[in-house]
Formats: sequence, structure tokens, C-alpha cells
Amino acid sequence: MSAANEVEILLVEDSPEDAALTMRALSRRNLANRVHLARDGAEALTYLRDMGKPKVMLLDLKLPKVTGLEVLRQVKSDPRLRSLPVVILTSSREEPDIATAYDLGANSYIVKPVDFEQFVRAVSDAGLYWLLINQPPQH
Amino acid sequence: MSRIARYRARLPVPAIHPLCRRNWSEMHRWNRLSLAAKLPLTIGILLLLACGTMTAVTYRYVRTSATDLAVDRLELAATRVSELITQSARTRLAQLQLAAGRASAAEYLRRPSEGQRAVLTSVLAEYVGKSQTPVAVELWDAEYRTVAQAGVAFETVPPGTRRAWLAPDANPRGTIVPFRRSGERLVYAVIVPVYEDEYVVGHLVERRVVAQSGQAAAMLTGLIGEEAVLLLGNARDEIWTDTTRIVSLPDAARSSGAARYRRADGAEALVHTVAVADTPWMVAAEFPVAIVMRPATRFLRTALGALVLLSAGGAFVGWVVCQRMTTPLRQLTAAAEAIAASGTAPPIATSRVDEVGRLARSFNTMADEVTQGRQRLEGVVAELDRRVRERTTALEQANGELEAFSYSVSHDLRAPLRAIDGFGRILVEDHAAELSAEARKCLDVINHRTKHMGQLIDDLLTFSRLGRHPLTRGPVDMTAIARSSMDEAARSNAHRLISTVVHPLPSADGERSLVGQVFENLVQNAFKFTRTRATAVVEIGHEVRDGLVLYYVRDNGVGFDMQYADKLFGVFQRLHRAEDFEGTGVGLAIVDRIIRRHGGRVWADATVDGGATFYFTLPEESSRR
Repeated sequence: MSAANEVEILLVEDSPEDAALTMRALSRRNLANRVHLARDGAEALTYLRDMGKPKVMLLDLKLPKVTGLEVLRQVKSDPRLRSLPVVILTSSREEPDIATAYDLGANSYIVKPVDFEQFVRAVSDAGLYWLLINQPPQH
Repeated sequence: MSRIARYRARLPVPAIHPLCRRNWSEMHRWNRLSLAAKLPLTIGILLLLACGTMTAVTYRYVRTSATDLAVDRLELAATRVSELITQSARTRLAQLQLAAGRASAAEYLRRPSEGQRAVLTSVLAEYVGKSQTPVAVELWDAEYRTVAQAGVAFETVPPGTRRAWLAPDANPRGTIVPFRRSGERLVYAVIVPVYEDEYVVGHLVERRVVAQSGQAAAMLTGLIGEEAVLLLGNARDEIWTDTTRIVSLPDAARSSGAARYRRADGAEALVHTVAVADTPWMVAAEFPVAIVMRPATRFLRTALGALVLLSAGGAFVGWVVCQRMTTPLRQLTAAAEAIAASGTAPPIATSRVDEVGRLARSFNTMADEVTQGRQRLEGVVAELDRRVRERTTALEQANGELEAFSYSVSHDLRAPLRAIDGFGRILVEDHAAELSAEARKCLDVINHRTKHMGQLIDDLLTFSRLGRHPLTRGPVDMTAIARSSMDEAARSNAHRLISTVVHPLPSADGERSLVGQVFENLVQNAFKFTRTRATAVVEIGHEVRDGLVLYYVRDNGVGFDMQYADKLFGVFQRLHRAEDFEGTGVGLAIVDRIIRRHGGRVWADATVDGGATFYFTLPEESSRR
């Protein structure tokens, strides 16, 4: 909302290692300096309520307090936030998770590769796409 | 109730004995009648038969007896009357002889004088005067001419005929002449000879109209009743009379003894005829058969009435008895139906000690058994239901736990792996200068093994998911998915020289994605184990063995020793060293599980270094409705 808001990526991730790896992947494309890290679902929702809409949200599913799917549901049912692109970034390859996420309006679903190189490529490509290539609505 | 119905449906149908079947159509109508109708009918018919037979026999006996009795009486009557007539005839002869003597008939005939004639006339007039019936007395001379006469004037009989009346062998004491017709009456004659020194000089003749003597009539009535008729006539011809008029009696009735004949008026009559001694006459006593038979007819009418009453009464008693007998049977039937419908029935109250009572008590015992059995059965069923519910709950719980476990594995097991791999890389990237060659080699191993573990986790998840999700079956175009798997594998091995063949395959029934997974795993295996071959050959086709379609994936790879074939499809079971051929040992376990879940079978045929062929079967497409 505010032009002053420097944050372009909201990363919701409870694992510090995965957070560190994600930040490293994003830094490959120089996207890491405008990332805000929320450590659980409640924190993410609070941030969105207080600080407004970033350009993209990278959302883990298995989170303390409020799960990723619940965060997704609230975002997509909030008229103000509905247009926020949500990229699910998770270890779960389970079909029910994938189906539910898309039902709730997820914009993308990425299974975190175990292999570091693949992981870095997947995350940095996603960041690049949603920040630089994707055209969000203007308002 | 439906459970009971199902149990009942399983009971064997009783076989019908051929004999019973043959008679069935004949007995059908009878069998359809209820006992309450059959017993009275049977009793009624039996009574009717028995009493009917008895009545018939008795009737015959009564008829015969009546006839015999009537004949006896008729004989008695006829005999008595004939005796009476004989006696009367003798009396006449005696009186006539007496009169002849008193009148000095012989003297008058020898010497007819006025004086003699006056004596003769007075004696004859006196004789005639004593008679109550019309009578004439004549004196004939030797030439059979009338010389004197008294009484009524009957028609004159010529002397020739008069001579004929007296047969040569005639009784010298007197003759009784057969009846003659005189107008509408019968007339008879009694003739006594008049002797003069042993010579017959003339005859004294009495002619008289036949009339019923009061004595005879009274005797007859007393003997056999008013309906009896007495007939009198000549033995030699048909000139007979019932004493009031002339009747004709047929030959049949004229022979001596009992007979039965049809009278001129059409009625049948019993007759007994007796010759009258000392005369040419006969006496017949007759009786109309209808009257003889009257007691028999009366008996028959009474007996038939009694018969009908008795049969109806018997049938009614039968009906009452049957009601008494079938009431408990009906209660039994109702109770049996109640048991069949609901499994219980109130006990049948009976104080009877006969067979029906015993049946009712047996039935009560059986009903108790059935009720108890049913309760036991329901207990067992309830227990089974409870156990099934428990097991289902336990299974659902286990499944849920497995789901959660898989989810955790999927998520939590990969995260640390990713961290290990990631931070190893970061170590290399950020601190390459500080790491020795040996340290970098160690980090390579870590990297390699982490990847392997990631693959292992993925395969395991796939494997466990296969056991949990229901199949979505449908027709599967086997040729298309075999070709697709082959093409996919060929693309990832584009650098190798591989000859692939996919023969057309018959369709199968199954879940398309899972069957695809089977081909994928088998084809990938084939590609993997032909890696050492200069020219790899992978072929997909099918055979029909014993009517069963066998799909196969064949390669010319390294094969394996068949003695380990049983380990081939186990999880984590590998027949090759990891250095030679990478793999998690889950691929064939997945294939096995998919085929089993479809109801098929998978097996392999191989020789060391001689290639391997994997066969599997699936349900045919037409097997599903």
C-alpha cells in the first residue's frame, strides 16, 4: 500500500534452516534485502493486517499456531488481500494438500526439493517471476 | 427379520417324491379342502355307504319276507276255501241223493203217476225253497230228457251235452260238473244217478249260480285282509269268477301253486291256486303285489329318511370333532407363522393330554428353542457387529495415524535433509578456501547420500499411499500407456542406443495412473539394467496362457539369479550392489502392490546376464460391469 513499504516478499517459515536457505536462494537474484520473515501463521496475519500487502507471499504449510492453509484461506477471503499472490513453498507432496491449496486460491505450489541446487533454482526462479515478471493489478 | 429371511433362503428345497408328484394333480382338489371339511365329508360318505348297503340288504330281505308271508297266507286261504268248497260239494251230493230217495225218483221214472209226481214235485220244491241262491233242480230220464223240474229256469241244455257232462268213469255216487257260463254268471251242476236195481234209470240234477258264501269271504278277510281276492273257476279252461262277475285267468295263474302275474287291470298280483278236491274246479287266492310290498316300501321310505338324517348327523358330529381337533392346529399354525415372522410366539395354552396336546407342548418347547436360538444368534450377530465396529474404528484410527505419519515423513523428514544438504553446499561455497580436498570429498558423500535418502522418502510415501487409497477402476488402454512409459524413459536416456518395441496390447480394467506407474517402473528398471549393453533391447508385449492375458516387459540386461526371485518384490530388497545400479529397492515393491490391489499377479523370469522378463496379469476389461 504505502510506497514507502520496502518489503516485497513476505516469507512465512518456521524452520530457521529453511528460512536461511530460502534467503540464500533469493539473494542469488538480489531479492533478499526486501524480505520480511514471519515465524508462524499468526505473525504473518498480524503483519499483513498492520503493514499492508507485499508483492508476493511465500507460505509454508506446516506452521505453528495458525497453519499455512488457514493463513491462505483468510488472505483469499479478505477483499483487501485477495489479489496478493500466494506461493505455497512446502515439503508436502501430498495430493490433498495440493488440492486444498488450489481450492483456497493459491497462485502456485512448489514442493521444496531436498537437493540444494534444485532448491535454490526453484525458489530464486519463483521470486524472480513474481517480483519482476508478474504484473499485479494497479490500485 | 431380513437376516432370518436370508437364513431361510439358504435352506434346501425339499425334493418331491415322484410318487407324490404323480398323484398330486388327482389329489389336488381334495388336498385343497381343509380338515374341517374333509372329516365331516368322509364320515358322511362312509355312513351313507354303510347305511345304504344295510338298507338295501334289509329291503331285499323285507321284500322277500313279505312275499313269502303273502304266498303262505294265500296258500292257506286258497286251501281252506277249497276244503270248504269240497265239503260243500259233498254236502250237496249227499243232500241231492237224500232228496232223490225221498222223492222216490226211481219209482216215478219207472211208473210215472200223478201221485208220484205230486210227491216228487213237493220234495223238489222243498229242496229249492231251502236255498238262498238261485237254484234249479231237474229230474232227467235215462235219455237225459227233463221229466220234472223246480226253481229258476236256466237255459235248456240239449241231451247230448248232458250226456257229455257225465264222463264214463264218473263217480257212481254223483258228479260235479265244471262251470258253465250263463249270461254274466257262472252256473254249476251237481248230478246224482237214480238207481233201479243197480241200473241207472235217470239223474237228479241241481244247477246253481256261483255265489260268494259269507263264510268264505269272512275267512278270507280274516286270513289275509280285505285286499285279497278269491277266484273260482274250472281247472281246464278260462271260465273263472270272483263270484260277482266273470273274469279270465291266464294259464300262468291256473297251475297249482304260487305264481305272479299281471292282471287285466294292469296291476301285478301274487296268486296261489289250489285244486278243489272231488270237483273239476280250482280256487285261487290273489293279492296285489303293491299291497304285499307296502310294508317293504314303508320300510324303505323310513330307512332312507333315517339314512339321510344319520349321515347328516354323522357329518355334523365330524365337523364338531374336527373343530375341536383343528382349533389347536390353527393356533399352532398361527404361532408358527408368528415365529417365522418375528421369531417369538406366545406359548399355546392346552390342557389336553391327547396327541394334539402333545403336539402343542412339543411346539411350545420348539418355539422356546427357536426363540432362545434366535436370541443367541442375535447376541452373536450383535457381538460380531460390535467387533466389526471396533475393528473398523481401530482401522480408521490406524489409517488416520498412518496418514499423519506419512504427512510428517513427507514434511519433517525432508526438512532436515534439505538443511544438511543445503548447509553442506553453503560450506563449500562460502568456505571453499578453508576446506581440504578430503573435507570436500566428505561433503560430496553427504550430498550424495542425502539425495538418495530424499528419493527413498519419496518412494516410501508412494508405496504407503498405494495401500490407503481406494482404486478408481475403468478401462485402460494398455498400448497407449505402455508406449507413453517407453517414450518417457527413452527421452531421459536419449544418449543411449536402445531398441524399444511396443506390441499392441489388449485393454485391461484398472486405475489408469497406477497401471501407468507399473509400466513406468518396469521400463525404468529395464533401461537401468541394460545400461552395460552396447545395444539395449526393451520390449513390451503380451501372451495368452490358459485363457489369461500376460503382459510382459522384457530386456536383454544383466538379469538376475532366479534363486533370489522371491526377494525381488520386497521393500528395500535389492539384487544388485548400489555401486553397480542405483535404486531404493522400492520400485518393484510398488509394482507388486499395484498389481495385487487390482487382483492380478506379477512375477519375473530371468537368468544371470541373460536379460529379464517381468510378467503381470490384470482383470480383463469386460470383467467389470
